[in-house]
Amino acid sequence: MSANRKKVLLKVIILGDSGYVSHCVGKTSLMNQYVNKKFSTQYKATIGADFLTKEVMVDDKLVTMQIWDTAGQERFQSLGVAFYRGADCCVLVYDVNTPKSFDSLSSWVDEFLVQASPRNPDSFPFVVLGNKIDVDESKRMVSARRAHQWCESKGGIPHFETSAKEAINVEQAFQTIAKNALAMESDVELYSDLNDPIRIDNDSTTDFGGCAC
Amino acid sequence: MPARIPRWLALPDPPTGDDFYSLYSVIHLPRRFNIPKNSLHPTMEVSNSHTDTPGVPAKLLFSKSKVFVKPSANTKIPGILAIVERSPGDYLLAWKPESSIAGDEAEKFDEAVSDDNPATVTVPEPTVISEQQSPYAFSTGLKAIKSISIKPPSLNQWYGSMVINFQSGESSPPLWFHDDESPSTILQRKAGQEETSERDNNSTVWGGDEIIKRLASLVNVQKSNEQGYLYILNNEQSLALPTAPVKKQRPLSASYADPPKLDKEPAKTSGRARSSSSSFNQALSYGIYPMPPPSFMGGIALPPSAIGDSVFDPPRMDPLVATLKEAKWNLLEKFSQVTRFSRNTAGTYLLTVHMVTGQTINAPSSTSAQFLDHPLTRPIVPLLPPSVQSLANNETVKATMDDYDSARVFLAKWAAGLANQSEKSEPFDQRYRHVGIWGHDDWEEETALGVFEVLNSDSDNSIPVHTRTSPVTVEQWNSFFDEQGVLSVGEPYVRAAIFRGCLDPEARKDAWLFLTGVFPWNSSEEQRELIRKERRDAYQALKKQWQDVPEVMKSEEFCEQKHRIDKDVHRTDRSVSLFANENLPNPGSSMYTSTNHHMEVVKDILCTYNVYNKELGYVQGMSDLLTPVYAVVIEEELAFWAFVGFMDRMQANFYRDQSGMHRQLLTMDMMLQFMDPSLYKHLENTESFNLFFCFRWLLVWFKREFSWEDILSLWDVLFTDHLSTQFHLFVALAILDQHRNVIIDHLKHFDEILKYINDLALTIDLDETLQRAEILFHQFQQRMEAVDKKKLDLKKDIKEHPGWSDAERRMNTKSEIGKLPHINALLRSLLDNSTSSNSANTPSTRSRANSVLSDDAKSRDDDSFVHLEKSSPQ
Repeated sequence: MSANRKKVLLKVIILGDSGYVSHCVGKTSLMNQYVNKKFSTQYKATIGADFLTKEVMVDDKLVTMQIWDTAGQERFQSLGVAFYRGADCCVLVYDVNTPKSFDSLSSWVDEFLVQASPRNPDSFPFVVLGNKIDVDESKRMVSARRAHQWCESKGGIPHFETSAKEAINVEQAFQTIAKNALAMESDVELYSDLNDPIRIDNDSTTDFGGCAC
Repeated sequence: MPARIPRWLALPDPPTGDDFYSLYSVIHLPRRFNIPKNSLHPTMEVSNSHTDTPGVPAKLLFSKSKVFVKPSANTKIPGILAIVERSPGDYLLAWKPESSIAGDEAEKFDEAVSDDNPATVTVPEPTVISEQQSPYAFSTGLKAIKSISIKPPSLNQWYGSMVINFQSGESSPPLWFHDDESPSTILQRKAGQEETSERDNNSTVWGGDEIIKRLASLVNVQKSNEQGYLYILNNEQSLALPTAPVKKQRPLSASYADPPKLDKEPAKTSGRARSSSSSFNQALSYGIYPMPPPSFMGGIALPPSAIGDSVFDPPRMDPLVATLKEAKWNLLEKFSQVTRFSRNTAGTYLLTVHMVTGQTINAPSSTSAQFLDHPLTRPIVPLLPPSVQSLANNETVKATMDDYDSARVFLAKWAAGLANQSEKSEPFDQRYRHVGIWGHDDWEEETALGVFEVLNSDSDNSIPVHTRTSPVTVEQWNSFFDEQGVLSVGEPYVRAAIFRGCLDPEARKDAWLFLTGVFPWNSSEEQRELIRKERRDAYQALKKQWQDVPEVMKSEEFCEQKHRIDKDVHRTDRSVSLFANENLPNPGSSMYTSTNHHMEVVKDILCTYNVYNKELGYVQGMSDLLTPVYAVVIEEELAFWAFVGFMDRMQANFYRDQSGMHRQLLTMDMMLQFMDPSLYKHLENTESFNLFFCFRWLLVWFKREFSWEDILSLWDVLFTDHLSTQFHLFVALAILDQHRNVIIDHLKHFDEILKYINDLALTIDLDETLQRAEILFHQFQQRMEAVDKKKLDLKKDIKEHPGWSDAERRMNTKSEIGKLPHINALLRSLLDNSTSSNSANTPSTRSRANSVLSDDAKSRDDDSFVHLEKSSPQ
């Protein structure tokens, strides 16, 4: 095994409303569009949490993004603490056709910061995605300008308008997510060495060494 | 004349009704080995013909222990198969159960098998077995044997077997050779390996192989040409069966001096002084497995013609299986931990299987490389073809291995699949030796207690078995009721029957209406008709509360819920035919997909429930719980009430404060700590907080983990509350137990475990899981009882010695009590079942658990209650 090859694992959490006055914002769809290049209108409601991983090049560096999808209904958010820990970036998703999902963004930010308690809450990287721009323009309820303003007011959170269905802006958004997460990760690199997930061979040797005679 | 299939081969009838515990506690009585006495050849004496005659001393020529007779799926009798010489030239082949052999005699049997100690031990003639000891024991003169059918070990049947067909036309029961349990075989192998270490050790001995060889040294043995593994004895006059060509019928003595010619040096063995039979062995083993070293592949690829020149075709194992067994033996030398071993090496076997059969490996090459690098695999690597070996050194493959996604989780999945296959190839009665505490060799150490004498016993009787059987048919279901439609067999009986076999789809609707509490168990058909009517009206009234009230329909709160329901119904079980098509326009204004009748009914039921249970309302996940109930019941009104009954027990899962889920996860947590401390410790080390990876399982009763049909069957079982009102937690434990070695060995982080568990969805074998869950329940119960008893004994000790001046002794006893596993109200509630609860007709686990909890809270001396509070989540 090439142990000298430095591996970076970036943990990304996707948050956003589900079930309010419209459909959910499309967290699972965005994740699947990005990782698997697939779209389906029939993803089951997420229960608990799951993640997908994707290799991505950021500034000539190969990193693995671990993208976490969680249940959207606020009721299940108390589970968050288990999943948010060690996050490198938090993606906030709203539905551009559902004002309420946009209005909730603030509380998602608070919720996340409380539960994940990152070391540097003020500079922790968020990215905001306004999803479902493929839906008829006449149904659009949250303008790009309004969203931009909000993001600026929160200290310049990057903002993208996306369509998981049509694969619009998804790649670009996740590139930014990866980049910001990596910047975050570099800050805390000192701590991450212990967590290299690749060292299987050594672990196994220890496991079986005891009984080989 | 083909061998007859003896009558006793038929399995015993599946257990029914009252004898549920008979299988669990009492070993099934074997059926009689039925040989009509007078039809036997004079030299063949069946066990029960002389009950008290002492045996005639005979020279033991060969014996083999751990040869099993298996009268039924659940019964196996270990015995010794022996060849003895009663007087010069008068040979007997005998089998007797080990239980009938006295201790000192057993040693003789074991000693005699060694080749270097040419067998002159006198033993009683092994025909004298009383009927009570075993109806299967037999002894027969070799002349009375017509033929022997052999089944070498195969991938389907891990142990080889043989059936002896007598001249009289009768047959013996199959004798199963459990070579890996036989001390003599193990000894023999050790000796063999020392002596032949320089020789390429490709021959693998199995019992049937040996016995045929020994017989061949005494009488004429020929292999049948027509039937795969049939060996004909005493065939001088060439009878009905066509046999191998004459040249293969050379006297065996010739073969000693003239072993089959091979490329590789048989000369190496010639200098050694060995008994004639062992040199025969060796000569033959070259004939059997003429695999030119070092290439393992060469041996496998050898065409059958290459061995055609041997004296006769011995009962050869499938070369593949031979190699696998060989691998097992070799590894066994290195890793003495047999239980762990069988799982850990499973991957290795199967890897080898894939390699030699040329089948595609269903895993990227990177994983193969990983396996080749694995310490357990290393002994195998030299056996693999060069092309596969080179994989391990391929840079691309190495690089791929570094990728996070293809690493541990993937490897673990693969390993689990292989371990599973390997387990399934074990004989049925061996399969569950690995379940729960019996499969966990480090358990004792973990608890540091010697309290579970009963549990640690190796005797099979202490190992609970499952009682799973076939589904309850609609005829059976109807037979439970009398003419008035009143249950005539008792509610516990019905629950047990459904628990054990699930329900046929036609019987399910009625049964679920009882199980969900819509119909009382003691109701008559007439009463149920009234209930139907009354429930229909009640439902319609509830439905009107939202449908006919514009203020409700327009309220923001209701609209929110309505949309949530719409959205969820449109993504619930859409692959099930009932909900698949979209032939109606969607009435919901914001929905742009079409709908169908059944989806609309499901929405209505959920909206009505939202009104019915105002406090809780609709929560995501409920649609998953309703669709099966609706699909089974179909009538909207009754489906609603069945759902209400179901939700009574499930609603705590959806509480706003998540207290219900926390409670379940906490119970699960304690159960795991109690049942599998090493897995628990591993999960702790990986920071797998509060078993969150089980969240989805428990929230919707495994709805996402099994196929639609399996879910219906699983819920049949869970609805019964037969063993436990929380049997679903034992199902969860069973799934974890099935994967515990893989989790411990391969998964080091919380996220890996979560991913692994999530990805188990739709790969879990329901039957296997239910069998395991039942066994785990019984283990749990046994352990609880053992701990309780121990605690009581220790407390009594203290009480009975109030005057113990020895403070130290007092303290020791107290600290012993402290070391016992904590049992709290949550753990105890796992033993609640349908009969222990007063409210069997209105299943509400919540109220039950609460009452149990408060009961226990009152008894403050239960130290574990403090423990419960301490470990509760904030």
